[in-house]
Parts: sequence; structure tokens; C-alpha cells
Amino acid sequence: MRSMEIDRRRFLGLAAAAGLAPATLRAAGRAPLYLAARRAGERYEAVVLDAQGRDRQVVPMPARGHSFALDPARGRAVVFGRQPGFFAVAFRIDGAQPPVALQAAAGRHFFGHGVFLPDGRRMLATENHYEAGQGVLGVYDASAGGGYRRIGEFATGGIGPHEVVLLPDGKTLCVANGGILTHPDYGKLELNLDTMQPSLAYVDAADGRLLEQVRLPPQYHRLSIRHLALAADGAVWFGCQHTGPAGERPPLVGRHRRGSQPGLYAGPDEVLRGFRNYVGSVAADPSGAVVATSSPVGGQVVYWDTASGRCLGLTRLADGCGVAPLAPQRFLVNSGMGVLVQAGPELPAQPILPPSPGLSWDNHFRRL
Amino acid sequence: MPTSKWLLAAAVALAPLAAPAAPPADLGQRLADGYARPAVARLAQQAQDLEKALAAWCGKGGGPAGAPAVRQAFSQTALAWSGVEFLRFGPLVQGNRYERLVFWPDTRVVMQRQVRALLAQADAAALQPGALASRSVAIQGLPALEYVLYDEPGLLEAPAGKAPDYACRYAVAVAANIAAVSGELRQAWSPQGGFGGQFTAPSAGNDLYRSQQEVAAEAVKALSTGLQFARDIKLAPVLGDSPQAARPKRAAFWRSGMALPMLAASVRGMRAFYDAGGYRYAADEDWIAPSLRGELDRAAVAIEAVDAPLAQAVADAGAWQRLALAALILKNAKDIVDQHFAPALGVTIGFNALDGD
Repeated sequence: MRSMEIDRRRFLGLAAAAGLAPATLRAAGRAPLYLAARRAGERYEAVVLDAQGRDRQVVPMPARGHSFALDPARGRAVVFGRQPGFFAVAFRIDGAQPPVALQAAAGRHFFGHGVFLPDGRRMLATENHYEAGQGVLGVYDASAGGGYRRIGEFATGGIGPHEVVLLPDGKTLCVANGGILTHPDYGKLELNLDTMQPSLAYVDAADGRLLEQVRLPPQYHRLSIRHLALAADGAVWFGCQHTGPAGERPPLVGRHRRGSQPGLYAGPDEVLRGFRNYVGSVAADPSGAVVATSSPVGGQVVYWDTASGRCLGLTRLADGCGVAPLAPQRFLVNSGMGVLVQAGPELPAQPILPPSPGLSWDNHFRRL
Repeated sequence: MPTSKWLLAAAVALAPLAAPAAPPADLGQRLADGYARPAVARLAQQAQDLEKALAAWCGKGGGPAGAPAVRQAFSQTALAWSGVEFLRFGPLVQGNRYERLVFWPDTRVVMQRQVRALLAQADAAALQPGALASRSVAIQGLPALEYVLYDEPGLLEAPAGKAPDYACRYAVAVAANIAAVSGELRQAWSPQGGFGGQFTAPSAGNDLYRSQQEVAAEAVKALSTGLQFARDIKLAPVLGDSPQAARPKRAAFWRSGMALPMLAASVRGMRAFYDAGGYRYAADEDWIAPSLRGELDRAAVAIEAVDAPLAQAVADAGAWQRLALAALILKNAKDIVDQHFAPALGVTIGFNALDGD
């Protein structure tokens, strides 16, 4: 693994090679905006931030949030309650209109992730049909005047769908079926550890057809596939959580391309051990060449070369989980202790926000 | 905060977990010898006794004469399990052992469906020695045994010589399976067992536990999640918001009336597991031990004060209140573990790390 120490001149050289003057890293035309959920004192909030960590808009939530469905073209987002979540809140990024509260449908709860389709007419969210123990995508009318009415649902082909992403074709969804059966009466307790069957499912966003389903080899049946990001080449990168004994250390990070077998990447032994069998968030940098995988349990963010699967290095951050693209090879990373840093495979962590008592950033950090 | 100061703070937060306090230098040994080994040995012994009692009784066709001994052996095994269930790491999570011993909660009623199907088929192959081990976990453990003893076909209530033969032999096979899995637990925790050796001797070359700090983190997690399980999984769903809203059949082991004795035994077990650690505190933290012990004792006493089986008790306002109080105390105990006991050992429990997603 390469050292992350790097001098300023070399850094400037790298930035130039990547076609970016340092100034443009800070203000590339329109300044990028970010979204995260957080606990601030006794309050739970969804927040729109700039890259300096300054609040642009704060949306109150009734309970702890998780991640977002994003519609950058129309300046909208939906934040979902953390599983078992019974609420979601749709809001405008500029705060021009009051937020709209969504309730989970009868017998369903949100898992915390969702997507808008590019035309802005549909929003889909991963949900638990919990009495049946089946994963579904709730389909919502996101058109103007649609009021986010729930107009149907698609099966995800598995139990416990967690993150969903839209492939670059704008038509195909990829769902991480974590495989873990839960019931809201018992919180997040795993009820089927012996028979877990996690999978990646590709679903037609228009009609819910299951186009392809991929499973890991049988010895990894307790490896819950949870979080997803897209690489530059359109491959899906996934991060897993192992529910078996700590002494087992399966690889936790993988890559899949439609029609092929998934690849798993372990990285060096010490890095793998440092994950503590847990990946909490996955994000690609803006170029899609580097993927970051975080483990709040192990207190580390690990970077991967999406072309080769090579481990590029890591950043240590206690309870660090949210990762968002900042610039090529660079990420914003936040933590449950209120910290915000920028970091990357070639970049030692640079503090942006200090630790703050009572402020906890939640698992996911998204760039609009 | 001035920049220089918070940069320093950030650096501290970024550093690998520095230890502001240290666990006992022999913590793993203390927890293993002082608690875990006797607890798993007791479970293995009780399960063996249960298998013997059942085999003898079924050999005579069952009947009221021998039923109390079987009931007693079942109860003792269930209580022994309560002292083990919160050690949900290492050997207990290997090879589905936890689920094989106790598949619960069972929101899809899998156990009942599968046991009924098995009894209806009277599948002889399932009763061959060791055969249950490769069947569904739902039909291998204590809940399945409780079901056939206390519910369907209700072996314990059968007239003398009339206990259904297949169901009785199935009960013996389940008890044998529980004894076998418990025996594996005892072996794994023993000094010769792989896990027992690793837990008691953390070192740089130990793949599982590098330091007593990592053993301490395991102990903290076991207590914290054990307390959460007792309150959020065992008690809260049963209690509901009021005696009218109580759902007694959501309780584990409601059929045998063991739900409350097992819950109390589990809390007492966590108290003993804590005591076995021999934790020492700095002067300003020495309130932690008496507070935590006090809460665990109060919770156990509140549960033990309810003298009816849970199914009847929750409909009674007074008993419901006592159990609601127990739930509250368990929450307090967990808060002490997470917010004070853990940091006193130098163990950090993060906002995101604590409650994974």
C-alpha cells in the first residue's frame, strides 16, 4: 500500500494531471452541494451542505434518517427514515417550498435508500413487506402534482433490499438484497441468519421485471450485500457486512458487471481485519476511477482502484461512515462524532469540521 | 473553538483508539474461568440430563408419573441456556449454533409449521443419531422441544403409556441435539478449544483478539446487546403500550411458562458475567460498578416479583407495571454500559458503529 503522505508540489502535479487547477477544486462553476442526515442534540435533521460543511438548508425529521433519493435536475430530494423507517420527507434543495412528509404504506417500512428516475416522474424506495418477509421497491408518483402518491411496488427478488442505484442507462435499477429478514417488532434483529441468501438484483425501472440476479458463492451466504456505487465503466461496486463469526474474514468489497460473475476484493490482511467485517457506505469519486468504502466499526475508509480492484490505501476516522465524492481521488468523509474531513488515497485527512459533542453525522453522505 | 485547538482534537479523534483506561490484564481469563466456562458446562450437563430423563420416560410410554422429572429437566436446561445466550460471539455464532439451540424470534412461525409437518410424516430418518443436525435449525432446539412437550401433541399431558411414540422419540432426538451442540460450545470455550485459547490469551499474534482491549470490547458488546435483547426483543413486544395491548404469545417460551424465569436468569447471568471481569475504576468512576450492579439486581427482582406465568401476568395491571419497570431499568443499565462502563475501559461505541445499518 502506498503511503498517503504526499508533498504539496506533487499534489499540485496530480491535480494538474487530472485537468484541474487547485482553484477549480474549490469552485468548479456551480459549487457542489451535499446531503446528509444527522443528530444534533436531541433533534434529527436532514441537511443540505456545501463542501465546506456549512448548512444551506435544514429539514427536521421525526426520527433518525438514513439516505436520500436525489433529483438534481429538478433540485429535489427525499430523505428516508432509518430502518425500520416509517417516514420519508420530500423537500426542495433550495427550500423554496415546504417539505412534504411521506408515510410508509400499510405493512411496509423503508430501508433507507431510494432513487428518482431521470425524467423525474417516478421515485422508488427499498421497502420491507414485513409480514411476508419480502423485499419490495415502492413506486411513487414524483411528477408535478403527483404528491408522491404510492402507485405500486416491484418485488426485488430477495429479502432485505437495502441500497438501490440507477445504472447509467437510466432504465435499470440495481438493488442490494441484503438477505437479512427483519420485522419491525424486533428492530433490526436478524431472524434468518441460517438461511440468508443475499443477492444483487437488476430490475427494470419501468415495469419491475427482474432482469438478472447474482449471488455470491455459497460459502458467502452470510455476507450481506448492502451498499452500492457506480464506477466510471458502469460496473456496480458493492460493500458487504458479514454476519458470521468474527474469526471468519470474507472479502467485503466487490464489483459486478451485468452478465458476468462478481469479483470480490479483500485487500491486504490488515486492511481486511480493520473493517471488522463491516462496510457502512460506498461511494465513487467524480471520475468513477476510485471507490471509497467506509467502516465505522473499524474506524477506517479504504480506497479501491475501480479498474484493477487494487486497494489504494486508507484513512482512519473513528466512527467514520459517510463518504461523498469531492474531486478526482478525493472524498468528503464524516463521522458519528461530528467530524468532517477531506481525504483520499493520496491525501492525508484534512479537517473541515471539528469533533462536536452532540453532533453525529449519519451513515450516508451524498453529493447532489 | 480556535483553529489550533480543534485541529488537535481532530487529530485525537483520527488516531487509533487511544486507551484512556485499561481493562484488567487478565480479563479474558477472568471472564472465561469466572463465567463463560462454567455457564456452557452447566448447559451441556443439563442438556445431557434432559436427554436421559426424556429417554427413560419415553421408554415407558410417558405418563404423569415421570412427567415432573422431565418438566424439571427441561426447565433447568432452559435456565442454563439463559446464562449462555448473551455470549453471542465466538463459538455461539459459529455454525448456526445459536439458532440451532434457540430459533427465536420466529415471526413466520417456521418452527411450528415444520415440527407439525415432521410429526405428520413421522419421518424415521430424522431421528437417526445426529440426523437432526443437518435439518432445519427451527426443529433442532429448545423451542421445538417445548412445543412437543407443552403444546402439540403435549407429551407431558399424555396419559400413562399413551405418549405418541414418534413425537416422544423426536423429543429425545432434539434433546440429544441440544446436548451435542452444547457440548461443542463447552469444548470450544475450554483451554484446549480454539476459541477458549484465543479469548484468554490475547496477543499480537492472536488473530481474533490482539489485546485485552479487544477482549473488553467483546465483553462490552455482549452486555450492551444482551441488555438490549432482554428489553427490546423479549419484553417490549410482549408488553405493548398497556395491559390491554399486551401480546403474551410474543414471549419466548410462553408455552412452558418459563419466559419470566428465563428472563430473570439471563439478567442475573449478565450480572455474574460483569462481576467475573473484576473491573477496576478510577476514583471519579467508581460509582459505575455499584450503579450497574444495582440496576441489574433491581431488574431481576422486578421480574422475579411477578409470580404468574407471563401469559397471565401481562393482563394484570400490577404485574404489567412491574415488568414495564423492569424494561425501564434494563434500559438504564444499557445506558450505563454504553455511556460509562465502555469508555472507562477505553472502548468507544460510536453513533454509527453502535447501531449498524
